[in-house]
Amino acid sequence: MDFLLALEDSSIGMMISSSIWGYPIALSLHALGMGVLVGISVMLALRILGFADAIPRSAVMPYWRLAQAGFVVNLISGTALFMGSATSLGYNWALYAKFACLFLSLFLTYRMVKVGYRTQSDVTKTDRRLAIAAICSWVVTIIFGRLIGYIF
Amino acid sequence: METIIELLSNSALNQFITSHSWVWPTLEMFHFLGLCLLLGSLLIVDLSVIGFAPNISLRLVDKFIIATLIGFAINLITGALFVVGDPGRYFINIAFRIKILFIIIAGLNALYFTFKVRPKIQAGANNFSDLSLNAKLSTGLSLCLWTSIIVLGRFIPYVEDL
Repeated sequence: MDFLLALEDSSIGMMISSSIWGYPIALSLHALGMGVLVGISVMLALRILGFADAIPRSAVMPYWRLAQAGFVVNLISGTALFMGSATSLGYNWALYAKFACLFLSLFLTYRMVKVGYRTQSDVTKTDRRLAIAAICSWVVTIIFGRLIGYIF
Repeated sequence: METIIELLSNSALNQFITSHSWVWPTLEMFHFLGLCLLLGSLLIVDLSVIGFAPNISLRLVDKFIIATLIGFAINLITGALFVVGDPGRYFINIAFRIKILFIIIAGLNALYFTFKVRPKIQAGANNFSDLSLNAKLSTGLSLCLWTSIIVLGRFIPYVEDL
């Protein structure tokens, strides 16, 4: 609890919780980062599943770099948002469920991107399952992300 | 305006949205999923035109616009339900009004891209340097507008006093 209080009392925590624009700016960056990270990850998964199959798989995979930039934006803005309400968010189970799903989604998408860069062989049934699992995992991550605001 | 707000506030749909606690968060989840589909596919299309992934043929990349349209449809439906659920909050909100204006401009820009830029791409303009300045401006404007629309959406609850 002391650690959470210290986070909330830090200059970043105070900026998020007390200033007029701190919270909405961090929230906006978080939404943008989410759109970039999840949106591109889902598009790459759809390509693995055969969507827009006239485009070579490896040609769309460079977008993973942009998705990673989205993750960095989310990591920074998410940390700032957490610091602004650390004492309440620190006990929010939906937040920890979101973290677990987020790491799973990132792992599955990373594995899937490696499949995308593999140009020698066709996409296997296992690769398709990986893409479906990645999409499902991102959807569940977003669901838990939205639940955070409704669980006190 | 007040008549519309009153009409929506007294509608059966408004009663349904406000009387079930699970409806609003469910709509929010779908709105965010729609946002991801819309932005993710739009980034792939617009940044390909700009030259981010040079191995993608511009003639083929517009297949991803299907995902953009699905994402937009999800957000249009869920967004409309938000307005029906709390009309007094949205219609007078400055961020919401600017957001709607930007969506209309983005729609007009998409029409320009479809009828002026896309035919040139189909005719063989296959990289950024082959496209006119207007085509490049249209692509850049699309990215700026949708980024602003997302930011304005997040600002709606925080500018209610303005």
